[in-house]
Amino acid sequence: MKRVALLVLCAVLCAWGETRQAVVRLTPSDTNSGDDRFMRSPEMDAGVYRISPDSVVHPLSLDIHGKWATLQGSTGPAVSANQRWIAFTQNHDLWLCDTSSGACSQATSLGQPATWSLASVDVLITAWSTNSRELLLHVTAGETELPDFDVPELKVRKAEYGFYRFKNGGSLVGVA
Amino acid sequence: MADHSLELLKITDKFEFEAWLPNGEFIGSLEPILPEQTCRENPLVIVREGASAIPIDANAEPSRLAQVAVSSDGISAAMSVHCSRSNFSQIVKFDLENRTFLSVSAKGEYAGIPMATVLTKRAAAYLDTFASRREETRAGHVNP
Repeated sequence: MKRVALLVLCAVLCAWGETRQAVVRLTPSDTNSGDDRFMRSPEMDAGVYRISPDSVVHPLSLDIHGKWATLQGSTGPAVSANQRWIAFTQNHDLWLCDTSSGACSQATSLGQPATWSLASVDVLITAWSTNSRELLLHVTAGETELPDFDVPELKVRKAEYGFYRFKNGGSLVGVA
Repeated sequence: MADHSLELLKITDKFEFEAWLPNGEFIGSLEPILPEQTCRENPLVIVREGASAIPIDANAEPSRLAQVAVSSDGISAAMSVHCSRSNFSQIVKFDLENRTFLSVSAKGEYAGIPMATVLTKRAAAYLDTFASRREETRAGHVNP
């Protein structure tokens, strides 16, 4: 009984956490006013900063921060070389924010959340291309062991894992 | 209407990315490299989808290539070559057209990688990229 209650609590908290992270758009103070640069802080769990031409650093108000990484990719955030796009993983999928317009949108629909028996499917960001038009992504299975919980090891879902080339057409409409 | 596209690439799942070349090829290693493997011979390859990987040969002696940075024109790439056993490290330039190396720096002593910073290769890369700006960022001021 205690174990079931724990699992239900875990599921509710996970669902709440993912809902809470829903992104609509960058605020006006987060968007590129012209020649701004964007960079992420070196700490894995830190966010993105906008650096104005007068060298003043503004932390983005939008909660985009790194979560985890593998040797093949990370949840980002990753800024494109032309400073136009911020890529990050949210709810297991790739999201892109346009720093010019402030619009943010889910860009892939490959990710899946973990269940009581199945591991998640996660879209990780490997790198932006130098022309800022493409992303190398790595689709991988999430953690199969939950060390803090007395539950069986999660099974890896059937999915097309591996590296993907994502071509960004320039607008944020639709999901690939 | 969506203007994105997504293409599954035929690249081994163990591929460890280093750099993206303008012609669509990638530089990286086909197997994970452990932090202590500092002298492994020729672990880097150029990968193109559907074709055999091309090894990048830097040196006759055992060494490891790393920290690849491709020039904006896509003609060359700078990278480090090092080996702890031979106690050397060097910066080299790789001509991507002719596949030849040119020394950029003289050989120096191998400095090592502090284990505390070896979280993952990617995390280490983040640290390398931004370490010099960290203090300025915290102070609220950065020179672009």
